[in-house]
Amino acid sequence: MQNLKKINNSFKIGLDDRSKYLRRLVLRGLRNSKRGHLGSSFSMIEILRVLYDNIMHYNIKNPLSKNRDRLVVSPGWASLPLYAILADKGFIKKSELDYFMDLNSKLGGCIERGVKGVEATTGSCGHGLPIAVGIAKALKLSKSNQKVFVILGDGEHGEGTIWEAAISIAKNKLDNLIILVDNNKIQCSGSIKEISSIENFSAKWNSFGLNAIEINGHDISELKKTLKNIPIKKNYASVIICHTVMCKGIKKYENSPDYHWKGGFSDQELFSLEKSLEDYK
Amino acid sequence: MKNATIKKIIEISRSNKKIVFLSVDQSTGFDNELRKVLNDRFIIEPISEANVIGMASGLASEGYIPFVFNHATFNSRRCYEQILLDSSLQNFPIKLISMGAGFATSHLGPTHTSVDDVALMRQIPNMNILVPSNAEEVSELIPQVIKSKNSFYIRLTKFGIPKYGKIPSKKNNANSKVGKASIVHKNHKYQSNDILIISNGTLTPIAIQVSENLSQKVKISVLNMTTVKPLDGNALIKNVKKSKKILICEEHSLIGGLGSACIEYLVDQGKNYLAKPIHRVGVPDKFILKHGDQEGILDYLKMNVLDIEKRIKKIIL
Repeated sequence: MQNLKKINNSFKIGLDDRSKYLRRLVLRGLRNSKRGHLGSSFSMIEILRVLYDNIMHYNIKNPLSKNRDRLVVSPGWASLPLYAILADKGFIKKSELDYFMDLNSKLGGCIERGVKGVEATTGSCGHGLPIAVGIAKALKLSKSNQKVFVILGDGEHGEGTIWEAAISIAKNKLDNLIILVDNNKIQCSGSIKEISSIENFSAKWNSFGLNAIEINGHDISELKKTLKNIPIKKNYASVIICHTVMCKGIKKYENSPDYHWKGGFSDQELFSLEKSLEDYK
Repeated sequence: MKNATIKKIIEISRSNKKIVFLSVDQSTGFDNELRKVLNDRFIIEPISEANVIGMASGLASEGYIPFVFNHATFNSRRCYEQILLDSSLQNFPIKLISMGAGFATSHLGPTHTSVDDVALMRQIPNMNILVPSNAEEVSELIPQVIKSKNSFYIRLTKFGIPKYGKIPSKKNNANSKVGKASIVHKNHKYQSNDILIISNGTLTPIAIQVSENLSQKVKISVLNMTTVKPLDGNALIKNVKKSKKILICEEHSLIGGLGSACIEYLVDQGKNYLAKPIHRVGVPDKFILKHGDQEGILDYLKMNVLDIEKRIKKIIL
């Protein structure tokens, strides 16, 4: 069974100033592009925030430092939240967000290597995890203690490569790999339950020989506590099913597939999104 | 050729600790040696072609030199998007050893034959494509492959030494260079050819045999085009200029392979090189629903020594 309490709490929990600030950076990019994957951008903000604020080792001056932890964000279409946190941390300039998706902007609608701080280009479903498996294997071969974090969308679990990778992760005992599933329960055409018929992600991952737990993906303290104690089980890769809410922060759009992707935002709509975010409790 | 390839990789892996050998549940014939020399850098992965290419790309991103060993068909179209997006797009170079290409495993039927792989790989920026014709040549090429920062698709169209035709001489193989084509046989002492045969893989030894057999009748040179990408345009033009007619032979679909690459290159020069008659031997645009061994299929498709001789006589005489 799904952890209903965690799911309910993911709806109930409020957003603090920092979470709202990061979402405003996302909206800053959206103001230029007038289109984007708003839903997952807002569901994964807290996961990214905790990784960059509290967990990952990185060096802004030397983004390719050997001593960095690696992060692969597999739902590449959620490029704005990653670019927002990279801008917040100083990997890129915040003003670059004002040119999001422009002809000559490095910041496109999907995550691309070449943007400072990005490990891998993603955007086609199911590609991020196998790349992360290779990075984790390489770090094991090099006897490195650094960790590899990978964020997966829940909808992309329909891809065979996710499960091919799962078999490989267990076989290679990649306990330096941490999978964070942004389980916002919505994909492009409807709910995950309706379209993909997957309800219990942790049971699936556990059955492949990884160690999965479920948390509230918007709860900063729960994210911190969980991520500070990994691997959850020695010799096992960790899977953290983060119960999140599609479009978290915009009350009237939460949990709707209509905002997986949306184009043609008017200035007025964007203004109302910002207002809605400010009023979010 | 497969054995020579793996032996060379093992030899270099003794000193090069960055080489990783990934087998996608395929028997290399050298598993024990690989385990002994490469240790944990020899990885047998589950049957999961797409995942393995992503994984190899991840290993490359950390500075390793991954070889991925698999059947040609599973090492190309089965994981095409991964090769394109995970490796090539991101400049994470991987080296694909694709055995059993062409009709080398034709006894297993159309699921295992691979006559579209060169066409697919040609579409991928940063991908080098090698179609060697024999073990000595591949032994010359592997060290260059390891040194290069590019991705490679190494198409091995048969096991062991060629069963048909004649292997290029040692002297010619010793000159094998990535990106360079060379004349591996010339049956006359004159400047110009009646016909220039351009070939690679299985068809190069066959072309050499054809050239020998016709030495009294037709002036032939055989241009061995092992590297399909990047194509050696200089050698191509130089030899086309010297020839009255051209015959391009490959164990691949006529769409998108060596012949297409040569013709496209010649057209793009804008110098009317195509005014000369160009003929082609290759696999027609249909499924080959046959079994039996490679030789039988080559006979069926008129890609053997005798049929190519007949074809040349018809073209020339």
